[in-house]
Formats: sequence, C-alpha cells, structure tokens
Amino acid sequence: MTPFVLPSFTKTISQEHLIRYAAASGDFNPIHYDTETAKRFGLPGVIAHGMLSMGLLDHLFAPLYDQGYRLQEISVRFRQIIRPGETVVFSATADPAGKNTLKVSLCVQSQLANKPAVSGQAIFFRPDRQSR
Amino acid sequence: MFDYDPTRIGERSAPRSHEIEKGAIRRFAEALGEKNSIYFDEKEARAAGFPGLPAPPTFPFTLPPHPIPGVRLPQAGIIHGEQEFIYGRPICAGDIITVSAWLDNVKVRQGHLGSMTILTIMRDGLHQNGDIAFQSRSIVIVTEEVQRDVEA
Amino acid sequence: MWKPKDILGPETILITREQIVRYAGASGDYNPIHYDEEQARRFGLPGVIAHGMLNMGLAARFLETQSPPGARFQRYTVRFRQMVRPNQRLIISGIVKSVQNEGDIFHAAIDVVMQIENGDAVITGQAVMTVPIKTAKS
Repeated sequence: MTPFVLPSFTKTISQEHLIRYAAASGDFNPIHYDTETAKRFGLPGVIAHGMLSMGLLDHLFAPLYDQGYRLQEISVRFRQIIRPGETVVFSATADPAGKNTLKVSLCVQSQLANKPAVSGQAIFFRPDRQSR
Repeated sequence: MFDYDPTRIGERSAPRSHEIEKGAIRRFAEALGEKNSIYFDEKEARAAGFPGLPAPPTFPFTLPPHPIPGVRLPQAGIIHGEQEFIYGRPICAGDIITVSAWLDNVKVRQGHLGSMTILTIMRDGLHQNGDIAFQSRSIVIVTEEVQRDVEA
Repeated sequence: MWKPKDILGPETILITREQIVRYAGASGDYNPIHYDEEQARRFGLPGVIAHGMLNMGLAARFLETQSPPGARFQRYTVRFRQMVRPNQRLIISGIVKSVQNEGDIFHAAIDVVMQIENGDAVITGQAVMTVPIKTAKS
C-alpha cells in the first residue's frame, strides 16, 4: 500500500483561541497573554501554546477514526513559535505499516514560514472487527 | 450591530437550562481568589447547610440566557452600568437552573459622549421545582460612538 | 454581630492580567477588550480592562470574608463607575448601615466601595445579608 495524504486544513490562530485554551487547559503562563512578560522572556510578543497546535492536529484524524483506527501513539517536536494572527496549515500523510497499522507524519506550518512550526508522528491501529 | 424593538419589551427569551457543575463552581471561585472552603470542599459545603458546592454570589451571571426577543447588542463596547442580584434558594452543584431574560426598559439620553441608549435587562433563574434561584437586573449603556463603530 | 457604623476592611488587592484571563475562562466572557490590547484601543479604551463582573465578584468575596459564619447574600447591587486596568491596586471597604432582627435571623444592610489609590470609586454597592442568630451569637 502506498502512503496517502489526509485532508489538510488551515486555521488562523487568534488571541481568543489562546485565552480559551489557557482557560480550558489551566495553563496560565503569561507568555500566552501578556506582551510585556513575553518580551521580557525574549519573545517577540505573546505566542500560542505548543499544546494548542498539538491538540488541533486531532482534527486531521477524523477520517481515520471513522474507519475504525484508534490513536496509539503521538509525538511532536515544537520547532518554531506561532503568534496570534498567523495562519497555519495542518497536514498529515499516512503510511500503511502492516495490516492494521498506519504511521502518520504530521506537520503544522505557518503560511509565512519556510519550515514547520511543529512536526511529528502518530501511530494508528485498527483492531480486527471481532475484537472491536 | 445594535437595535431593539420597543414593542417587545417584557417578552421573555426561550427558557435555557444549565447543569451546574462542580468544576465550574470551583474554577469560578478560584478566578475570584475565594478562600472559603465551602466552594471547594463538599464536606464543608454540607456542614454549612448546602446540598452541594454552592455558587458564589455573582456566578448566576455566567449562565447565559437565549437571545432576548427584539434586542441585538453589539459584540463589544457596551458599558455595564449597574448590576443587581436578588437571591432565592441557593444554586448548588448538581442543580439544573433554567434561565430566561427580557428587556425591561429603554431610555435614550444625551450625555457628554453624544446620545446614549440605556437598556435595563432582567434575567431570572428557576430550580427544577419552580423555586426561584435568582433574579438579576443589568443596566447596559450603548454609546453613540459604539453604535456608529459597529455599523461602519 | 455587626452593629450600625461598623467598618469592614479595608483590604487591598491587585488585579493582574492573569486574574482577568482566568475570569474570562471561568465566566465564559471572552470579549476581546479584556485581553487584546489592540482591540481594546479600537473601542476607544486605554487598553485592556477588567470585567466589571470580576470587580463585582471580588467585592462579594470581600464581604463574605468579613461576614459572620452562615451569612448569605439576599440582595446585592453595584454600580460600575470606572474601568480597572491590569496591575491596578484596589482598596475595598464597607460600612454596616443597619441591622434588623427578624425572627431567627438578622438582616444587615451594608455599603461597599472599591476604590483606586487616588480615592476614585470603581464600584459602589449595597448588599443585604442574612445571618442566622444562632451563629451570630457565638
């Protein structure tokens, strides 16, 4: 079987996203909402939570869940910061590895950047019908 | 966008029910820096005579009603002038509270910011058995500047 | 038990950006004027401001900490008079206006005020609280 591309999506990350994510996750680190503090930490301004980008990757997986695949493992590396106002493309390629396993490579890239902000890999497994 | 229909004053919004969650009460109490253990510890709440974690006094404002008939408020820039709560049977975790809201009064006044529209919005919340949980009165002010800005 | 003219507080608090963000999350009020400087300025504000309801909630918390055990709010009204910016220091205080004995409870009427350091009021309000007499005596 050959690798296939999952439907990608584009999202503009807003300051409101960051505030909502802070509240939902309990991560109230000021670098996500306080420009002055962010600058004191050497950042260009407030930045998105890495875990927000990682969490949004889940939207890519909907077709796999529909086909009975279940997420077994996911790991990512945060490579570049994402700032509110940036438009970001979420994409993934699935590579069948064995009968019921998919290795999915993940990419989050800002439209302005020439390298990914987040890269990673997920492993999906589809249990046989009897055991599901 | 801001407008209102004066003929619909007094008309209630469709009832909207909210399940009162412990986590929401704790988060709200935490956000206000509450130290009182009745908001966090169920044993303490029961010792104080509540059936579950009680909601702090201004918590009812976080239970949104359905849209008020005949009123469209701008997303931002409205001024909250005054707020009142009258309390009935306390709201506690596990309760289901049904809220509804209505426009009670509209005044247009000339002030130093140009013409202002002053709306009185009422809200109430009922327990499942019909007991009143709270009634709230809000006065909100929409300035001419905001009306222009949102229409532009 | 409270007597008329009893002074409550004062207590000094500092409203931080974190508290405003936490309040947005806990209340579900994600109006950008509370966390987005640019948007706040577009609406003619000097920058982000605290939620009026946060100020009202903080004044309620203050009254609770000053109350005898078992006290409950029966009625609570405030008027919002001024905006609060992050990192502003606020002073909350109250005064007992009247106390009435009604059966097995007291009703106490209290005026509360939250001020910035130059004395300008941020909110002024009134609360009517009920206190069971049993706990009030102890």
